[in-house]
Amino acid sequence: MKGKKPIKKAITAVNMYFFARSVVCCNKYDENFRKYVGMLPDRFVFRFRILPDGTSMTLVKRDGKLSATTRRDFTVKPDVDVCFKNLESAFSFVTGRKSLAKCIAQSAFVIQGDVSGMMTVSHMFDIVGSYMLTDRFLKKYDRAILPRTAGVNKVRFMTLFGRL
Amino acid sequence: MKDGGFYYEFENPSKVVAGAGCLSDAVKKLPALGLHNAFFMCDGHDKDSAVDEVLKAVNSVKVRTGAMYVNSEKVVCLASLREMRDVYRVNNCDCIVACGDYRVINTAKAIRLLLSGQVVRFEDVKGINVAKKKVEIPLVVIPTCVGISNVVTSGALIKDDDGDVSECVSPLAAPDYCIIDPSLTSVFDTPTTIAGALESFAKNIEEFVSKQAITITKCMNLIAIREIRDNVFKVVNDPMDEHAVLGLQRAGLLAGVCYSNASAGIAHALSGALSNVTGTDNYICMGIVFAACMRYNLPVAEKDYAQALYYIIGDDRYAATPAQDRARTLIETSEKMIKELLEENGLPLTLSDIGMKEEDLGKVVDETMKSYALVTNPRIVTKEDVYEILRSVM
Repeated sequence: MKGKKPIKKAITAVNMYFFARSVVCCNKYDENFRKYVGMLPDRFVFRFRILPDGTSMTLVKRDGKLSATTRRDFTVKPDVDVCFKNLESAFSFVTGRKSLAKCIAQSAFVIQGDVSGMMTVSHMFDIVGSYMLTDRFLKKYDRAILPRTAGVNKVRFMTLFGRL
Repeated sequence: MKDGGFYYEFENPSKVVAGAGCLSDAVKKLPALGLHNAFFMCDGHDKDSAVDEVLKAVNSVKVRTGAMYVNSEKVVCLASLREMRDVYRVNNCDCIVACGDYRVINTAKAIRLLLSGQVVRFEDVKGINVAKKKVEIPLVVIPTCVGISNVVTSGALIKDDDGDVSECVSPLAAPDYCIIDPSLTSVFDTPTTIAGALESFAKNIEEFVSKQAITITKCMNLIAIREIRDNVFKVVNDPMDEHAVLGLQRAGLLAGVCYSNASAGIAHALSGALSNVTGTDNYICMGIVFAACMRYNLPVAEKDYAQALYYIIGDDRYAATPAQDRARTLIETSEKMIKELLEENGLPLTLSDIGMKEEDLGKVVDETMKSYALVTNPRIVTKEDVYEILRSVM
């Protein structure tokens, strides 16, 4: 548990980057995902951080469009701010072994902000999980297997190589 | 913090003083805390009522009643809160004393959040852990109803200017003192008492199977379930039985403590949403949907349900029930008990009884999906599941 864990940090950062891309991709191709995005107010900002000063990811909804970035920008006050208490829990989340809901239930992070916004984002991330991970993997880690309205391979390909 | 680790968090910032006749002793501590001018909140003030008794006790220890607010709102709105904040400041009050049912306690917690955070905009208090403490405003709560579980929870519901209800969760909302005196409890309104007891029963079961439940909360839940089983019929038969009333109060209190730490599940989310949409009291909605929600969670909570059964039916019947039937027996027993109590006391049994129509289901489902309690439900909930549960109790 002790030490700087540079490999784990690097994996978390890379996974977080691709997770941000997959969120944008799902918004582009999945209908159910877009319904949830529609429920968020305009100029909604959601931020993930790994404490004390690790990787972060910011989701912004502006003019009905959703963008996600892993660039650090602490000038904007987020509507929902989620701070992972340690790298271990963040690693479990970005590698798909824990859903956002499970992380909350296990007190893996400190949450600050709007409850309904956070719940909507939690449902959105479940949809992302059902595209990025296989059914077998989702079942193994007790995660939701949700109906997909777009091609899994298409979303995966666009996440990895597409221009978003 | 690895999977299956022993990490947990438990918090209860409130001091609880309980027992028959404890009020006079408990209020003596108020002047020692430097409190002299109370902002008194209640749900009505009649001579010789519980509220009158509390007022006399508070005044007897030289704590003045700087201002009094009579609450009649189920969920307090922002306009009322602003008004209360001004009254509190104009009268130089230094603490809040709330005496009444769950509505008064919710309002007291909401005004405490606003005052101690010196909040100007609603956005500075809405949500989880948003309000920050700037001024110390002690809060004393004295429940006068059975089965109130929001007494010690660290959250309050506030209706904004558009009429939307928002959850404000912060340790700041939890009271400093909670005084539970069965002699102040009004149990003569039997339907309300029954509904309150059933709500705390449902909450304890939900918290017991919650994903966030830890050993401490699970122990509390089981004790609370036993208290309800032992006392609910005693109170119905003899409302003056102080031991039985205190037992139900304790069960409600334990449900509240566990709620702050383990959260609840789908029944809590659904009853809250139904209450917001139909305007019916939360605990009545809970009675309607609870059995259906238990049945929904059965595939993943079978082991926990089987364990809880022991505290409901006792040793002999538990031993006589085959292990594979225990979870199902719990659901059937709970459903039968709830149905009997609701029917006998003229309380609604279905959603149609509370004026719910098929076309309103969508609104309830959307509200439910926004609830924080879904996160800790043992089974992953989708919109379709919520529709199915609602249709089964139409």
